[in-house]
Amino acid sequence: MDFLSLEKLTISFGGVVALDGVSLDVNEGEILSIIGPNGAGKTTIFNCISRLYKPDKGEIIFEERDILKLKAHQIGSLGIARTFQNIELFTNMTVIENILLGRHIFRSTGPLSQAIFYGKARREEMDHRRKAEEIIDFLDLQAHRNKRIGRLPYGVQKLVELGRALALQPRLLLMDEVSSGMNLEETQDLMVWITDIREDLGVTLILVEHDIRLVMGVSDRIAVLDYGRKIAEGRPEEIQSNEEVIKAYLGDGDGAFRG
Amino acid sequence: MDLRESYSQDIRIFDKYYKWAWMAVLVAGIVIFSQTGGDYVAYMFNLILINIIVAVGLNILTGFTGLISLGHAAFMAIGAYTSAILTMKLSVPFWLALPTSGILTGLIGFVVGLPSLRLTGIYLALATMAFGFVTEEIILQWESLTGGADGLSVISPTIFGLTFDSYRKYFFITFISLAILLFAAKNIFRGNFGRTLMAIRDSETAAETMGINLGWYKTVSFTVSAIYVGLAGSLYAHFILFISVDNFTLLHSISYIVMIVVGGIGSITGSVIGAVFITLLPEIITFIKDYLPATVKIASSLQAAVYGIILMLFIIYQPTGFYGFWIRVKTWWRTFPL
Repeated sequence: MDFLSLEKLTISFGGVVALDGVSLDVNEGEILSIIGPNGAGKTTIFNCISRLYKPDKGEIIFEERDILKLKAHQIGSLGIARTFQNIELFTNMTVIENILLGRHIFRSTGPLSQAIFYGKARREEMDHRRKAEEIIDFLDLQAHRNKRIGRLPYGVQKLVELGRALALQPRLLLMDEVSSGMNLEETQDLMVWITDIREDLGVTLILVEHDIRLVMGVSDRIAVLDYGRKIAEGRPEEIQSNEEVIKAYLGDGDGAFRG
Repeated sequence: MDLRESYSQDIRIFDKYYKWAWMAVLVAGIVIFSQTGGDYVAYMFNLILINIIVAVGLNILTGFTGLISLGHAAFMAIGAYTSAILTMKLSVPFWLALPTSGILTGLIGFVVGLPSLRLTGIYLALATMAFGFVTEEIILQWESLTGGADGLSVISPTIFGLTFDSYRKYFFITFISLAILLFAAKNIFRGNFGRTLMAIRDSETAAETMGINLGWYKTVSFTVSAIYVGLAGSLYAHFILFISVDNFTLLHSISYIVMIVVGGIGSITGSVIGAVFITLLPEIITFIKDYLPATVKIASSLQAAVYGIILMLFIIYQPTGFYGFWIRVKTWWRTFPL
């Protein structure tokens, strides 16, 4: 049985077919990248998995459970976390508060005992603060921990989103263009973190990425989308030489200038 | 420079101990002033403290969760009438009627919160405003229970043989209630429940992905907000000793919104500042009325007009309210030569 399997996923918005029968299997412990030109449907796949969109047709099975039967707020406790392409942080809160919110699914005390804030509610808050602090250490965010999100540079905001997702202690992490807005040095750090997240935390990763160097460097497998269809899937070196992929990115050779 | 060494230091109500000392001085000052300043001062103190409870309640919903309500005067009315009817018609003691009216108002708040699952912004404002009108109308028509347009008289509460029959004595009831409710609010917002509400305000998409059940937390936010305002209503009824629908109109709901905007949206301290300012405003208007031109002076809607102007000025020039201004001044002092 596959860890996560997408079966003939189809969704359209108005007349635009965003995904057209996409099937994709993900194995536990691997790093899979999804690449493709703009508007190919990469983020739409993530939105279907996190149940923000409801596909018209198809199935999503995560560890033998039908995800499409669940609501968006139930996906987190399955062990699926994600980041967003256009940053969806809680902008009026600090870095540490954002990461603490990632621990929401592990909370067991209700509003009433939190209003009294004594005993269990207090201990629980301390425990989660300790966990959040570990993530801050892991991602080197110490300098920013008490700053508000709105005042942070874009690259750091991307990292905070990653940290918040890690706070859910996920087994599957969906990373939507985490490298965008990062400089070369930050991107290289990110490559190290991505492998660390897999090796040390045992998380399976799906990456949507535009930075080809990052994709080729970390991925075990790559899937290529174009106009909502999967046109190729394989190991990085296979993808690099795939005719279909070259055509999708550079256009077909007929009449066009090809160096 | 202060270095923090433990997580408990991070979530203290006051980050430095000397601030507790200032708080004690402030409390002592308020108690002494209210007890020695005469009837009028004691009356104003009671009114201010009750309005602070309302402002904190509304801020939990509007400032922290991002859901607007133009029906909070109706929650106050429900709290006030529940308490009045329980004590006057059913002879329930005050100490029991007060929490009961809070809980009942909370339950009604839960029901009123249900539309918030689908409505936001101006549409939610309209829905809650409609709730306010409906409540007013029910109170007017249900004469056997509420006394209709004639209103209801309420007696001063007696607790353990002590009768709180003057503004000065009643001050202690409102003061202790406020202290407990402020402490609870502070706790809510240093813990996860408060953060969850703020997360919903900042990004519903991300909140949902973090496993937050939006519908549940929005209605719970309405409930908690209604509990605060219901308790304030009960305290108000036994303080003013006579209640009628005129005490709980749309203009009152609007004045609560003005309080939190002027004080500071999404801040407990801001709610306190705003409630103090807006409660004193009619007194200030009465004071300066003598210096205004005759045509303005006799205008019946002068107070509403002043609310409108203040609201507009704050939204345009100081959207973070007095609290935001205070933070700016503090930062400026701390980093002075820069």
